[in-house]
Amino acid sequence: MGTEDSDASLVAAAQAGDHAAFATLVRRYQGVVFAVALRLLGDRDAAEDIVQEAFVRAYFGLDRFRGTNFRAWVLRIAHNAALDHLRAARRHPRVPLERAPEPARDVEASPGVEHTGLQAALEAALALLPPDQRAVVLLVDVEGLPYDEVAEVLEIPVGTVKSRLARARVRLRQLLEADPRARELLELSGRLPQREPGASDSMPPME
Amino acid sequence: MTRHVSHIADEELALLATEELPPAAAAHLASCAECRQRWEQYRTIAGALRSLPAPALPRDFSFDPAAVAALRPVPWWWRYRWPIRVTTLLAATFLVVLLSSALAWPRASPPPQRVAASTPTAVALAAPEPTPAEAGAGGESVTAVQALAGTPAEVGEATPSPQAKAVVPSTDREQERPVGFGSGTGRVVVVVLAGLLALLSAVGSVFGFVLPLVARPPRLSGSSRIGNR
Repeated sequence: MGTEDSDASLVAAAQAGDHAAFATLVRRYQGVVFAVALRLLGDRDAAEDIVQEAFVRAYFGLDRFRGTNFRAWVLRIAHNAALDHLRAARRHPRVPLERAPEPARDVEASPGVEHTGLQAALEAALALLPPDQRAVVLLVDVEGLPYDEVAEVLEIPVGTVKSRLARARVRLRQLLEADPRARELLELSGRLPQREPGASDSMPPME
Repeated sequence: MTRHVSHIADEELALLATEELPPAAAAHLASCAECRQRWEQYRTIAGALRSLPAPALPRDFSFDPAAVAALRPVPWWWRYRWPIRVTTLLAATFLVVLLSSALAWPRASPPPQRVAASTPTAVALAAPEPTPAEAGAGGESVTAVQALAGTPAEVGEATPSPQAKAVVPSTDREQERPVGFGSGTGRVVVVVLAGLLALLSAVGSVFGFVLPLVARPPRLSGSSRIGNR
């Protein structure tokens, strides 16, 4: 079965017992699921377990899957499993909730992104966001999912997705402004804000 | 009077960074350098996030069909096997204790009652007023008192005077009725309780011990990974 097959046809084939079809779905979405799980948890081993668990659960739940968006479904399974992991980590403080950004060997070379200092600053700022805001930023800004799909993944209204995204971006900007590694990006773009002494971050809404 | 120039709220600017600008917002951004600067900053950050490289996959997570076929969801009896085992052992222990007590208890009091019932009245009337302690000790007078209660017809004929009632204190009256396993109600309770405990022990043995040993589900994580490294 080729990679151009739609998710719906692959899901139908997998539901009929075609293991190769399900393997195609796994290969198609394992990257995004792993990336989201890793940046949510900050732990490679835990993220690996989450991805495996998500696809195993998806496989055994294929008969009950009646939706149309396989990616959103498996991401929802992985997100719920990641939340369970975070709750367990809170009960056992030895497991660090926040973690240093991934070392350079863990990321593939990406054309057009040469600012490793900026990447590290972004990863560090992401890790400092609350989990609910972090999940929205990861799904919308990093992975490029549309709002309605993110709402399906997180099982929240689209309006809540937007409000969390807005708060997360504001928090990210504040964190990046305080990180000297991120100034490279802002200076490069020539848009470093000239903050006046005593200026406040909060502004009244537009009238 | 001077008109106050309002800026766009920070969160709204953050959202507008990746959305189509409404005409009012576009007009404001064209005229307000501060808001435009902040809006462009959010656009830069969003773009940088979108350009973050994907982490390298540690392995291929696709399934081996043979491994998939062997995998089954963890059944409920496996998930709760330890509580089931503890409950089963407790039920079995209570069952043994209950049956042992039920077998030993009935021999304690009824036979002396029937023996003493043949000559009850004289001793009962002649005996001094018993104290509760003496009654509990189970001496000859107590046996006679119990016999009195056990045979009301005979007592009624032999002790017509109210003196008999004065002789028997209230604590003895409580012992008149055979309580515990020997009574009819007691036997029913014992049988029902024993049946429930036996049922619980049998079901618990199957789901807590037999099934986990015979149909142990495979591990899904840890050493037995199902993907390909």
